Amino acid sequence: MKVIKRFSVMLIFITYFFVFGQQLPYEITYIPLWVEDLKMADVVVGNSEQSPESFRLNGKYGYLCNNGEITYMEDLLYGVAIDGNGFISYSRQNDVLVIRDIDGRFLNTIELTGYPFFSGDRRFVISYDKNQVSEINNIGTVVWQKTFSSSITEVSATPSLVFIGNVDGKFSLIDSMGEVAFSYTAKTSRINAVYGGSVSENGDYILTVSGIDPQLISLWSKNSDGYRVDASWSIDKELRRHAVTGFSEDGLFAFIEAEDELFILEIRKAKLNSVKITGRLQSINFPGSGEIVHVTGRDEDGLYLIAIETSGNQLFYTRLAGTNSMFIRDQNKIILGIDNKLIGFDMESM
Amino acid sequence: MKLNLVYLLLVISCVSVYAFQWPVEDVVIISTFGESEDNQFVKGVDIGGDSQDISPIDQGELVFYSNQGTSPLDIPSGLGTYVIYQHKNGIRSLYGCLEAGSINTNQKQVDLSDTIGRMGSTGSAVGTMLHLQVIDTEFEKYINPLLTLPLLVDGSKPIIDEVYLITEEGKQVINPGKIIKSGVVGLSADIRDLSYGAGYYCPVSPFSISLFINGENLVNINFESLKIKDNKMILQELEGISHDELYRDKWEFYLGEFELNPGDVMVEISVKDFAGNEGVKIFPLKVME
Repeated sequence: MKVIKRFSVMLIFITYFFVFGQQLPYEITYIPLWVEDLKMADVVVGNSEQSPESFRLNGKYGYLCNNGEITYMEDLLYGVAIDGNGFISYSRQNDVLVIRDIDGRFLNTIELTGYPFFSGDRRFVISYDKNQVSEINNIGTVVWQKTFSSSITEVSATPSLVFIGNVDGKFSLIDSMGEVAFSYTAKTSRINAVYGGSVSENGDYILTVSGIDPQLISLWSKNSDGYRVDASWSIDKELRRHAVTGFSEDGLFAFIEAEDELFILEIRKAKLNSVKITGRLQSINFPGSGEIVHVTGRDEDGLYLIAIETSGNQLFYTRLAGTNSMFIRDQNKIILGIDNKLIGFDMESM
Repeated sequence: MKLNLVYLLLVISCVSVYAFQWPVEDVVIISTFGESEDNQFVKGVDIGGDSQDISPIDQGELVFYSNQGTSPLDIPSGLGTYVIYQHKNGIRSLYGCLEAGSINTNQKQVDLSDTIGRMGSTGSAVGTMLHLQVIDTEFEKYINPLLTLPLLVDGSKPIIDEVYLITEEGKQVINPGKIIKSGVVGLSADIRDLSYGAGYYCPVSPFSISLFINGENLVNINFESLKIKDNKMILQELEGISHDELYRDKWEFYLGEFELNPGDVMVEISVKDFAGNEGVKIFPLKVME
C-alpha cells in the first residue's frame, strides 16, 4: 500500500513536470554603471586600452569604450558613415569625401559625389540620385561601380557579398570583385519593388521583402544554380517604405521590420515569430540563439526600448524620454544612448 | 524644310503623350533632363521657386516613400524625402527633395487634385525645389518629363557660346574663317538654354543638338530618354552616349571626332529647346593640307 502511495506521488510529480514543465521566464537585471553627457564629455584621444565602438547620436558621432570613455567625438555636419575602422563625415554636397581613422586622422580621399555608406566592414558611395553604388577600398579608389535603371532601396553587405535592392523589383548580389553573383527580378506581385533585404554572413541565405499585393517576405537558400526560395510569407499590413532586415550574429535567425511589427525568423525551422512594434526602428542588437534581442524605436509618442526573446516573447517594454537613441552591446556590457546621454549598464540575465 | 519637319514631329510626339499634369502651379525649371550634375545625367527636371504643394502628375498608387531622418538604419539618400507612384502603362513618377514630414503616406491611391507633399530642401538639394522623374518600368528607362507634361511658354532660344576644336595640340576656340590643318579633329561647344522664372534666367540643358558639316547631318543628340547599357546610363538608346562621353564640362558638350579634308568647310550647329526655339551657329573654316 505504502509502495503504491509512494509510486502515485512520484507519478504525479513526473506527470506534472512532463505536462506542465516549461522553461522559467528570463529575469534580466540592468545595473547602471555610468552616465556620460555628450555636451560635457571629455574626449580622451587614443588613451584607451579597449577597442572603441563607433556611435552616432543626436548630432554627434565618434568612438567610445564600454567604460564610458569617449576617445573621439565631433559634431555632425550633415551625415556620417562610421564603423569600427574609421569614418567619413560629409556635408549636403561633396566633391571629395575624406576617410579618417578612429582618432580622426586623415587616411585618404575619395573623388566621388554621393553619400558614403558603411556596411559589413566595407565602404560604399551611393550617388545622390540613388542609381549608382561604388565600393571604395582602403586607399580611396573605386573597386567597382554598378549603375541601375531604378532607385536603390537597399544596400546591405557582408565581407564577401553585397545585397542591392531596387524599386523596380530587382535585387542583385555583388561579389567582392564587383561581379553579379546572383540577380532576380520579382514579377509575382501587382506592384513590383524591393523594400528591403540582406544576405547572411556565410552567403547561404538571402532575405527579401518585396512587392505589393501580395507583399512577401522570402527566404532564399543557396543551391548549385544560385539561390531558390525556401519559404515565403505574405504580409497582411503592407509597407511601402524601406524595411530594415538583417541576420543575427550567429546566423541562425533573421529579422524584418514590417509595419507595426517586427518579425523574427528562425531560419532552420522557417518559422516566423512576430513582435508588435510601432514607428520606425532606430537600433537592433541581435546576437542569436538563446540571447536577448534589444530594439530601440521611435513612434509618435517618442522613444521606446524592447527586450525580446528569439521566440518573439516580449521580456520588457519601456518608454524612454527623448527623440534619438542607440544601443550597443558587448557581451554583458550595454551602452544605451538617449539624445545627449550615454548610459552604461551591466546586464545580468537568469 | 528639314527643320520644319523635325519641329512638326516634335509637336506631334508631344501631343500624343501629352497625358500628365504639372505637379505644381508655378513652374520654374531650374534643371532639365540630361543635364550634367554631380558627374551624372539629371534623370528628371528640377522645379525651383517658392515652396508649393505638390499633386501627382496622374492618378496613381503609392509604391515607395522615404521620410528623411526617420531611421538611422535607412541608407543615405540625395533624394531626401521622396515618394514614388505607379501610373497606367507601367509609368512611375518620383517626387524628390520634399519637405521633411510633408508626404501623405496613408493615402495609397491618389487623384490629380490630391496633395502628396510639399517642395522642400531635403537630400542633396541646396534650395527649395522639387525633383521630378518619370520612369517607364516596361522599357526600363527614364523619360524626359517634358515629353509627358503640358508645353511651357518659352520665348528664348538656346545659346551657343564658344565652339572648340580639339586636336593633339590641345583645345582652341574656333571663329568663322579660321584656318586649320586637315585631319581628324574633335569638336565641342558651350551650349545652354535659358529657363525664365522667379525673376531670373536659369541655365538649363537644351532638348536637342545637331551638327552639320558641309550640309551633312553628322550628329543628333536628343534628350528624350536615359537607359542603362553596359553598366552605364546612356542618352538615346541606339547610338548611346554616356555622361562622360557627352560632357567635357557642365555646359560643354562634346560633339565627336571628324575628318576634315582640305578646302572650304562649313560647320553648322543647331540647338533646340523643348518649345522648339532654335539657336544656330555657322562657321566657315579653311582647312589646309
